[in-house]
Amino acid sequence: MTASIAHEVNQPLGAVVNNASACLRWLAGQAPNLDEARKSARLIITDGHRASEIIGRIRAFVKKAPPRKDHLDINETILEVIALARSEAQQSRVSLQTQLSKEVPLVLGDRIQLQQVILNLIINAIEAMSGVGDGPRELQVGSAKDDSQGVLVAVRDSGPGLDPESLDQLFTAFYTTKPQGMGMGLAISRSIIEAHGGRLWANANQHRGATFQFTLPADAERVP
Amino acid sequence: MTEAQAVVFVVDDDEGMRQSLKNLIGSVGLRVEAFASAHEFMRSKLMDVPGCLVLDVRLPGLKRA
Repeated sequence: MTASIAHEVNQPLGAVVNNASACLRWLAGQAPNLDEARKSARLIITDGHRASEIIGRIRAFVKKAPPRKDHLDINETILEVIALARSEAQQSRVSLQTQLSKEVPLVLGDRIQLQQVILNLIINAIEAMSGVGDGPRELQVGSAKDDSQGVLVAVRDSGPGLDPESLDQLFTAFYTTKPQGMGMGLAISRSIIEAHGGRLWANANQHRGATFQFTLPADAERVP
Repeated sequence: MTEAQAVVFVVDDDEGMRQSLKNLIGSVGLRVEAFASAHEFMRSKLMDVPGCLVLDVRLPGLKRA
């Protein structure tokens, strides 16, 4: 997703640079071509508007408010995402396992937003493992009841793991370790989880790989 | 000399990018033919003149054979 957003923003910016360069060339020389120069300036305006529209769309996506509040079974929510991610995992020769607890309470939240978060974590994990030559490519998605009777969702991979020094930066917007990445995925994910009253964080695993996990409070009306 | 007839072909699915490349290349006095897709480019009758191709690397449609 982030690569395509970056591509979308880059297109009009590239067009601005091209049209501005052309504009200068039309104005240069003994007999400047004012018509063409004017046309170039108009194209720059169009490109500028297009760039700001794209940024507006990203902003609307990030601050999609107000989120819907559905009573959700987090396990169902996870399984729907897994169905989407399964072929991606197979293509990257990643074995995808689930360990879902039946004890988890319902949560109150926006199903689509939470699925975006889970999908983002899964795709990140698959991409991280695609970078490693040999070694197992194992991805485990689990759910559990957390200490405060809420829900804990963990996505654990066997990729190259995390640099302890970069742990804090991971969730900063525009921080990325991927050549094609824009550094929005985890920043958006954290803002979604926090808007749901939960927390999202990352740890390096003891042996190999990384674990990303988030908590969500239990749906207060439905606590048994 | 054939230089005056030389054509630069541009293939890009993004309209703004296509138009701006056409504008930029045109501003240095070269002839430009722009296409929105590889299909459109392949279907066009290419003139038998010296030319070069500026191709977007992320085009939808036609895959490499």
